[in-house]
Amino acid sequence: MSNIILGLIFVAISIWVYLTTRTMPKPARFPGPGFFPGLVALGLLATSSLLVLQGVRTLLRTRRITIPHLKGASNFLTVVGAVFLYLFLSPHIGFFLSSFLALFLVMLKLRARVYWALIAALVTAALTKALFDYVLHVPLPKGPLPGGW
Amino acid sequence: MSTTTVLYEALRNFADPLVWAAILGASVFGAIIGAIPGLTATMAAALLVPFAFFLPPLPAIAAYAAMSALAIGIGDLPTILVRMPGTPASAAYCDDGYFLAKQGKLATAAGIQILSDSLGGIGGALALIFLAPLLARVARNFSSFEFFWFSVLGLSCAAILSTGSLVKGCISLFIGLLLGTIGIDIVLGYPRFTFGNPNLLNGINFIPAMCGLFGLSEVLRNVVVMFSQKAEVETISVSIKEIWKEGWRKIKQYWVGGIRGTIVGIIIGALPGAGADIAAWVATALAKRFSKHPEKFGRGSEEALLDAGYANNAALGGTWIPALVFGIPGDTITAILIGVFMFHGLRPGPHLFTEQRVLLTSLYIVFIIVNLLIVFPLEASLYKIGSYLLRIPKSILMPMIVLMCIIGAYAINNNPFDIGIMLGMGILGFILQKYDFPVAPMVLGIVVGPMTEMYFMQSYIKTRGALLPFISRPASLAMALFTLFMWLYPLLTYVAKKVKTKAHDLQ
Repeated sequence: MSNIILGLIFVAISIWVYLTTRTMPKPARFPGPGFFPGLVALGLLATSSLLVLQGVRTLLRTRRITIPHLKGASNFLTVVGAVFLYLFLSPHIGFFLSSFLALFLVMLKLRARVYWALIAALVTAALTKALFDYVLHVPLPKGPLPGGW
Repeated sequence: MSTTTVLYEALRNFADPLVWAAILGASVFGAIIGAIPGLTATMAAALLVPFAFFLPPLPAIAAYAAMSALAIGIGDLPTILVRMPGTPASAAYCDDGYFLAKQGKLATAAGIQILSDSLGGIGGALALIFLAPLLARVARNFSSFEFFWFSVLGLSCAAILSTGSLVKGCISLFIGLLLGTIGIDIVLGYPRFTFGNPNLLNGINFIPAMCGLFGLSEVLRNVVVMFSQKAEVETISVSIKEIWKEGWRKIKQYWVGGIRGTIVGIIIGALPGAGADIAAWVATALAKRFSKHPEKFGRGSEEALLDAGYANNAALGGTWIPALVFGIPGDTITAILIGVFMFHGLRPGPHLFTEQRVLLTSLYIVFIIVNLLIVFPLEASLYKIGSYLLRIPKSILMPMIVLMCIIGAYAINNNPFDIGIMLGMGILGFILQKYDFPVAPMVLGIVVGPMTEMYFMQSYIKTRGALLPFISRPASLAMALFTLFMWLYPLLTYVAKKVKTKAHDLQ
């Protein structure tokens, strides 16, 4: 079933890409900017159609629909959410505090012990800030704590 | 510059303590990542990126050579101790290593694994030292036609030789090629698929993409199955002297297998998209084919462990050959490495062998140093503390890797948009790998796609639209025919299998 769903998504993407390339400029003497992506889109269309066909054949043979399970989805969403949280908070409260918060929340969700999570998040955020800011001179977002932390 | 002067200058580079610090630091880092099941050598390569960018070229490149050798090598440790491959390259002989240890032959298994890694790595390095300059000399006469066919060949190999379904390999490749077309096109300067966002005008930044594809996606894969995989880890103790003694005994006993594994590793490593894991599978299959005891394979075969150990580390040297000579990565690690080269203003290609001889000679020395002096002591020491390393809680480790991915993506341009790219690519990589799409063809598509388009356009404009010159030079014709063969190969094997089955049914 997953092959059919993913195949159909890729078919849709390839059709959209192909149609977009048709709107790109076409110089008279050589292929335009749409030539190469158009060719690739046709390749993607052909192979993803084949994937859909394979999926349909398997479905007809087994007559069983396997629904993808959602086990572990909350962990997945927590990690993705932590990156969003960092992106949202870092311009306001700086690298150190936002990365500490993101780390601590993910560690807690992944069932680390609270004191271990607190120590590990604090040490990791502080070491990363010190290494990248002071040693490698990467301008990390500044925070409200003394020294821009 | 004479060869002696180049060698002298290259050796002088090692007076810089930063080079040694990079080699040792990356070795330890690679060994730790490789020893933890679920974390791959490619992930280590992606996490190393922010450091590599702030180091001078030689320490940065040396760090990659050291890290990959140790990560692939020590990936066998959890294989042997808890039957969980540390890296995909160790999966081929997982049962053999584990059952050998269970039979009370831990020192033998560890000895074979470490010494075959070391010697295979030296074999791969020698291939790189002698074959790469020869190929570069030939490639210096290549025009855009040959480079076009070579990049098409590289892309075809990536899709056809990737693990799993051919259709999924091709889809992965096409997605990579499409991602590579984002940004301003090379002929008219027309912005393609940028959605009016100026951050996309220069295309998808390769490094954030790699941090996402191999760092974040691995974390996501790990966290969704975290509590269903718990390995019981016993505390083990084996002396380094015993590992050395047992290892040498077996290396001498199965020396033919060692040579075979090294050759297989070099050849497969040099094919774009194949890499160490496929080399290990092929070497194990060949070892079984030639073994006097094929019944032992999968139940604790020393030959399986040895041949594959030679092959996966020899493959590492092999993967650097097309990356350095043609700019076409042999695997995902060298794909990231090409990004590091470009960042330091070094464009891989045949001219690198004339313009950067000292740097390349220093790199060869790094390969020899790592495989000769670092692999054995570091890997053998890790066998003593390996059981503790396997107990590091993933609930602490995984969030730390997420932070490394965030900072790796951000540090290149100091642009939060790149963190978004990293996140998007991480989710894409997770979905593709969850449904058995190989990721290597996509990476090759992103790296080699723009090159292919550029060579095609250069050639097309040169010939004013005539297509015959694309195959009129002997080298380009040979490459075109070989590419055609690669495309037809899956079809031919399918037809041959059908004919064989039909003949068998008729009998």
